[in-house]
Amino acid sequence: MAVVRATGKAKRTVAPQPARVDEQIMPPGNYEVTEEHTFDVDVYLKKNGKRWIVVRGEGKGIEVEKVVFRAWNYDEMVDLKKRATTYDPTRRVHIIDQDALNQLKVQKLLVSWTFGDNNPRLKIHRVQGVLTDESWASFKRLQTNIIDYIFGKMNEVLDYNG
Amino acid sequence: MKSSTITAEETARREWDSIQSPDKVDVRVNARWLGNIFLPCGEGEQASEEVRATFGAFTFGDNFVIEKATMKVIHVGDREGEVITQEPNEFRRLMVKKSLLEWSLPILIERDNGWMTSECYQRVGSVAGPLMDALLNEFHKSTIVTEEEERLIDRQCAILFSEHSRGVANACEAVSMFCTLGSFWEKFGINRDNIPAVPLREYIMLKAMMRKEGEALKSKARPKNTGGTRIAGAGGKTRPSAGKRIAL
Repeated sequence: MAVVRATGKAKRTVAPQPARVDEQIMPPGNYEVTEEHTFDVDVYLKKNGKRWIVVRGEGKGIEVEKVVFRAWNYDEMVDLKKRATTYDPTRRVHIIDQDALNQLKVQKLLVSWTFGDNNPRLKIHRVQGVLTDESWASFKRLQTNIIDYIFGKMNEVLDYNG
Repeated sequence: MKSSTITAEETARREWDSIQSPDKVDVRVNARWLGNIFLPCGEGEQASEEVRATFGAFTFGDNFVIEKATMKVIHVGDREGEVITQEPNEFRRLMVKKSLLEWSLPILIERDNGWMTSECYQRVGSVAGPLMDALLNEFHKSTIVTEEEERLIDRQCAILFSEHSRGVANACEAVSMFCTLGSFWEKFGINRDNIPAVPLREYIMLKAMMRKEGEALKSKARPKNTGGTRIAGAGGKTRPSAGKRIAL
């Protein structure tokens, strides 16, 4: 592969542009994704012995928990995928680590859930719009079948268009 | 019947646009609202809107520049080896900045010096990720040669460049482009930009003439039959050679 190196030309100085007032005061328009663009994942759970199983819908003895995610915009999508992409030098391909990407999606896009209402160990906290690592640890305390269900529903919207 | 006529006309219009402006690629994606989120349609889903976008044709130069910009070194093993590769996600983001010219969404595309301005990208990058991804996937199709196309090129070239080739039936895009553009440029100086303006009748006649010329050149170049010499006798009739008979 050809490698091109930069020539030692002097860099042109570009005068800093004043911040655009219209861009600052203009609200997001149609089709732009904001914090308000959220979707819910409803988890219907039934106790079966000591385990909770995920069932299809409401019914007798079934508890409903709600997980709220926000949509990701294109820029966030690229950034998160970049963080989760690794390179396999043997096969010479880039691979997206889906487990790592799911963690990043949860920490970046999970807005709230009701699992913490009755169990303080499952309370989650966000700092500057991102779920803390401790909250991610709380997320991982859920039963695996519940986590898988949440991931599946989350990815239906984020990756497979709902 | 009416709808099929419209579809044919639409197809013809799109093809015409692509011939008229080969430097642009139009893509369309069906989309729908999921609550307040605007997402591309999956298979069999009812579309509420069609999103159209025009990209600049992704050139060799674009690819070279973006590859260079997204190049990264990966250390293999205990820093024994290095592999240079491209970051594919950043590559796609730069494709948007370099090639997206206009679209049907109400977000104005502003460009400066061949690239999208950073203020513009802040707004363009705020559309739903899956929607932009779907548009880019459609655009990406125009920049690659698929494995199936490569196999077809291999098969047809084996026939085209064989010793006694008489051309290829149902030539694929690569073979057709190579033969048409190559011969028209060589003979008449007509290139990819101005060949669509050649009147069809003239194009057909010139193509026929070139085919005939090719056949004539081939038959001239073919070595004459140098098989066993036969001696002509009286009246031009040949006779068997008078070889010795050996008793078995």
